[in-house]
Amino acid sequence: MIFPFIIYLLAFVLPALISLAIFPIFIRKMLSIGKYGIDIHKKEQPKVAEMGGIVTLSAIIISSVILILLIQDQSIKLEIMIFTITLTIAGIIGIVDDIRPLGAITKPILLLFAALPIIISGYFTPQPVLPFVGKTRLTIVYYLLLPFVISVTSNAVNMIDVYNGSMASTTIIILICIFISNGIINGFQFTTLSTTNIYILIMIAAAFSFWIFNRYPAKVFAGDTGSLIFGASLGAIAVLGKLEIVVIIAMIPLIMNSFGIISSVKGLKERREIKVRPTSMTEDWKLQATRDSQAPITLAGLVLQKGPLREDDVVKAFNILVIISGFLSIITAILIWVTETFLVN
Amino acid sequence: MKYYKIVPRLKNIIGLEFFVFISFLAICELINILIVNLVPNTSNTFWAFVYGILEIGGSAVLVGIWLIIWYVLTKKLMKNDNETESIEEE
Repeated sequence: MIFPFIIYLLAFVLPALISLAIFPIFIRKMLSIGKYGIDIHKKEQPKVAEMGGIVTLSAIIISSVILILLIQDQSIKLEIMIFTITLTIAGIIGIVDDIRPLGAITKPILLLFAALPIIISGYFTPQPVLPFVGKTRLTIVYYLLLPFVISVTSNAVNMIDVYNGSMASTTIIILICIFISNGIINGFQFTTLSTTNIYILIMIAAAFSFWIFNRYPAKVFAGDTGSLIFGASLGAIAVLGKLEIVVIIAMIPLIMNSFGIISSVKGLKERREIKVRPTSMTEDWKLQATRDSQAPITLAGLVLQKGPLREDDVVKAFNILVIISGFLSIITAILIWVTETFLVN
Repeated sequence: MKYYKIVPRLKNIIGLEFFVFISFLAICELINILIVNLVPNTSNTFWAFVYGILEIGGSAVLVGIWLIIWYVLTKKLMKNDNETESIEEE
């Protein structure tokens, strides 16, 4: 009875403690060896440690190994292992990209491999449940789409990682809403072990401890290592937790952002390849929309249409939009629960 | 700036979010009424395959239309705000 609660507690506490302990050392080390980026949205142009995602990945791996050693159920052990391997593959691709930038098409293609552990394990149900419709029979289509899940979510999160704390805070809100939605659909299992709860708690703790160092004014940047890990975790939770629709709805602002960029620049392009930026700095160091028809459509561009804002206020605007989509994802979860319980046998 | 002070400037984007959500639910209901319920179940492998393709194709068309409307509305949102701004400047 008490065992699942201890596991849930450890799933939250371990990654948080490990990250909080390592981040200060990591930041000092990265600054001393010259692995830093310049925060171009500040007047002082401060140096900020890069590749903070490495700490997050390490914390997730160490915590998962400890949990695997403590849990006796072989199936749960295996599921946690698959989740961790998926994130590790995404993280390694991120590390490579941070060291030697990959092409705009190469990166999503490589990320297709991150879905391999999930595909090979077979720990998924190719019947996503839609509100009103119930279980769908998408067996073949599901298998075709599965490799893209991790790639799409990773890139969506990667594209929102543009301001201090934007990626971490939006991911935390999404994860909290997915946690509640999972409880509504599958029941709030506190006396039995739910792998989905374990993944979500690990990721909330990892994202929260990263946010402490990445919030305005940032001490560390996630790099592609961090954003790809957090994105991959959302994709993996969607598939392994059978929460595909809920995750899509919760991610609406992030999808809006990446869909806007990809459709307006006509394809996948790296930030450095896009000549006209969607935002620029005002004289008093606020962000403003560039209003150039050649600039990509981004969420920041839309938020700044009504005038300049401070960087932290833009992040607050992102958070408001994700809180609303999170609320809508919880409504979706309720509709799915109603559909499964009352409308479809 | 406090969170509540930022909300008014986001009303158009929040509206778009609700549109995306509600139209998604509408598509689910349309798929249910027009495709899932209308396409008959059959034990014949060939016809089951054909019906399966029809279901997926029909759903894909609906999702495609939804995505195009979403994109057009986002573009329009940017243009409208630009126009509002230039009128205010005048």
